Amino acid sequence: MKTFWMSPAGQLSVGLVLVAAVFVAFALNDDAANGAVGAALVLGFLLLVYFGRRRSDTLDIMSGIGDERSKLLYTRAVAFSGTVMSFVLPIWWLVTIAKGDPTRCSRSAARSSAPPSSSPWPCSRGAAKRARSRVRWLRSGLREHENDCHDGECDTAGGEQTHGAELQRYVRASPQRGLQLALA
Amino acid sequence: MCKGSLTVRNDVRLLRTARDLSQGALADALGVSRQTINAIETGRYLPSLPLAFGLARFFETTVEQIFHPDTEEIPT
Repeated sequence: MKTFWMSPAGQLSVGLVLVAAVFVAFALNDDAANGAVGAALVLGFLLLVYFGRRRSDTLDIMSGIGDERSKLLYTRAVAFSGTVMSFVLPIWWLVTIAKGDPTRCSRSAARSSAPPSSSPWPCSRGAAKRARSRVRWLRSGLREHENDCHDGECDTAGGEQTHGAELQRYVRASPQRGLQLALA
Repeated sequence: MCKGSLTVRNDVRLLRTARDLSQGALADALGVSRQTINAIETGRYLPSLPLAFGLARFFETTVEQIFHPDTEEIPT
């Protein structure tokens, strides 16, 4: 039985929800400009499949809806993609472990050369060194910011405020990176 | 006992052209795409049983008269 969700209109509806989700995810991170670009890319792909499936057999198969032959080829393609990903993901994971992921280096790990015991992800020496130098740079910016305070009043309009903002961005980088990886 | 590779030939193109039908018209009558009819006729795709019975019903014949198993026997 052909349901609405397995029809071109249903696929278009789900795709538009995905477009909105992409934009909202970026907008929540105060990055609406990039969200618009990402949503436009997804929308373009969606419209290409929706209108092109009548003209192109390949796009018809990519849509995953159609007659029995299209569904069979789509299933084969998905199985092939899954097989490829089952090789790519472990290899990518092993390469990341070997290189060390700088986003996994916490600031406490950056202070000491020993890897964090709580995190299963190793922190490579290079990544830890980079993280330590970044923490030093941020601390120096904070000290400069503290020096702006005179007689109980602080100059918040100074150029050093960007260091404070940069620190906030640095602190927020880890969950933001997680969201980006999840969306990827 | 022999090992054999089973290939299936069909007379869909013959039956279709005898009725002066286009691939698109036959595809519309059976609810599949024109590419699927073309793939069946050229032997690149073996239809499912429901579609095979649909073809037989459309041409008012039996599945066995449209699809012919062709076994190439390899002596062991």
